[in-house]
Amino acid sequence: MILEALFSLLTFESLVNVAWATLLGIIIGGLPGLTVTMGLALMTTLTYGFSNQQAILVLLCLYLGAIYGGSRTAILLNIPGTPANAATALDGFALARSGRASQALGVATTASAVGSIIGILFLVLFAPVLAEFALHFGSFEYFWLGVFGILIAGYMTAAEDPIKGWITGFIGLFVAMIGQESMHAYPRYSFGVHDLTGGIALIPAMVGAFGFSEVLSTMYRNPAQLVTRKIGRVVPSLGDLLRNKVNILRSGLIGTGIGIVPGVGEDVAAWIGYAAARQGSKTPEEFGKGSVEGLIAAETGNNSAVSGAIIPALTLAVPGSAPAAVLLAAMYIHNVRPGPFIMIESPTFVYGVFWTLCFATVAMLVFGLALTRPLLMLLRIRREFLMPVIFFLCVIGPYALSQRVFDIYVMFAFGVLGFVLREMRYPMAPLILGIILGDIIDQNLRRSLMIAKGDWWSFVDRPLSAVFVVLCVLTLLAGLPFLREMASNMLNRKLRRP
Amino acid sequence: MMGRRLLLADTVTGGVILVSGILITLGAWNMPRFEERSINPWTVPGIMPGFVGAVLSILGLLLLIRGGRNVLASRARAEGRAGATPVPAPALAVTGPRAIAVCLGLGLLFVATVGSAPLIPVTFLFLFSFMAAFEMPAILKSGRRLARLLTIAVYAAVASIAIPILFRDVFLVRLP
Repeated sequence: MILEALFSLLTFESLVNVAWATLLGIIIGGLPGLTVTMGLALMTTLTYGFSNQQAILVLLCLYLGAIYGGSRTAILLNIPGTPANAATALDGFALARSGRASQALGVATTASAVGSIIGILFLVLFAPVLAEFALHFGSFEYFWLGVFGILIAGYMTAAEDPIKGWITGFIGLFVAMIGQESMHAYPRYSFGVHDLTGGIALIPAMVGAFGFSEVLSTMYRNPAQLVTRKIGRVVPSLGDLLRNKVNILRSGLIGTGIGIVPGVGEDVAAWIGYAAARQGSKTPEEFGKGSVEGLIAAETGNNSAVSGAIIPALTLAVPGSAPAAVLLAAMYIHNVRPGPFIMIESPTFVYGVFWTLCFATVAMLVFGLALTRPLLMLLRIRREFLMPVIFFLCVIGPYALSQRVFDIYVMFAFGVLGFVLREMRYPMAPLILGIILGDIIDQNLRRSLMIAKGDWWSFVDRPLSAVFVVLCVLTLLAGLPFLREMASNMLNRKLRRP
Repeated sequence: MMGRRLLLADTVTGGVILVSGILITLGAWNMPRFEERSINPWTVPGIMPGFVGAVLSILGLLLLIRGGRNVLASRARAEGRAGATPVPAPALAVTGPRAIAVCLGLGLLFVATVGSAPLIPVTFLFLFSFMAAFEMPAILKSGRRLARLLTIAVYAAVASIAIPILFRDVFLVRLP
């Protein structure tokens, strides 16, 4: 089966698509103001006419390329091309400023490639296992999985203020409630507006929240300056990689693991990988001042999280990150049905994803090492010229998919909402996860209540449900210090009682 | 957004979320229960929105209480202390609220016109005005104003013609 998937991809068309999509991804990730999620959302609208295999191939290559491409700007401009490269900027920029830009770019490229390979291996090993395990899920478990997804995404994407993460997650759930519900076709919160009856589509919302809001944020801030215009030959530094083999393995595993957690994504994976590397380092004082170890940890972490985030999207239909959410939407658009049955219904597709990511990693490595100087020229495009073009793409992208002018207004509204919320430090990923999970949670809540005949106890007395309930409670306790104190006081009082 | 402004914004947002949560819950409560259709009462449309509204109300209340406390605490700390010096924007860059006003104004005009006027001319006008507005400080300082404006016009023209052609003829996408 795995070889069948490989042979189906070994065509001229596939290889050309891998090349241009990965390169485009690197450019999108590299240009400040263009995010992976926005790139994927816009590309979904463009690949509407492609076959399902080629469309998903293009999106996967773009995804992997963009997460890597963001490291270019993080190193040279101190502005992460994507949020996933924020940790890269700490040491990458310091290295570039001290005249070691070529080394930083080379290390980031090779670390990204190794991180991708770790993630891809986990995908091919873990996805079939998770899919089989998910076959045991009933409506109770799916309800709790959705709730846990919102809670954990809110907690991890806004670690210093989880309430804000949960608020955006529940706003997302509310947005998903707008329009006709699936059981009785009753239009909720549509106030008689015909366009609202159809609901808020995911792609326009995502293009707004991640595209237009990014345009606004980029124009709001001061423009960035290149730290260096001279780049030497970028070569893979195998010595650096060998010295960091434990660091790479640890960050790769952390990245993949964090990628699997619903809605959390590559940025958190990079930060946690970076923090773990600092904790395990013999020279933690160098972190943030140009540490190669730190750079490797961040880049391995974020690239391995790409495959990690795809695992639950394929097997549970729950995305591991915001870009994976677009990928999930694209799968539905192209008649691929992700979920526990994917290994039964279309196993070749899963192995196709595996091979596509392998090809994309090779393309990323080649382009990353060979095209650094031409990419540097692209970084010189001024935001005043780039951003209006991006806004234009944000306008025509959602329209291209549905031919509804209403979707352009949705994009605009979500762009403004996204900008305001981001300025107040609300994370955007839980919002998108909420929109995706809204229907799943709603349907499974009502189905479960129907099965249990209104007995709420049934939501906790099944073993798997109980595990999810415990995870939800732990997440709440971790995010709300006063709740933790209350729980610990109660526990102490109980223990003191004779 | 930094410091006290963020705390104040959190408090106001907490209030807005609380009120929105209550309104969502009320909306859910008033949704039909379809008793006349004899449907299972546990499948009524308002259950999930009610749950979402209730949780949003609680989260809004938490944010409001915490924000209010923090604003008071920060007011006490700020007494007698000088305000932080804002980071100056580069001399020739349009940034901050002015930039947002330009983006939103031009963006809204473009969005309102798309679909009711030919795409390429409208796009050209949008791109040209956006670029010119943000380049204006540099243009006014430059000795070659006409040349700079012409460069912007050429750039806008190329983008407004090339992108729709690429979308329509290469990706076979229908445009407004």
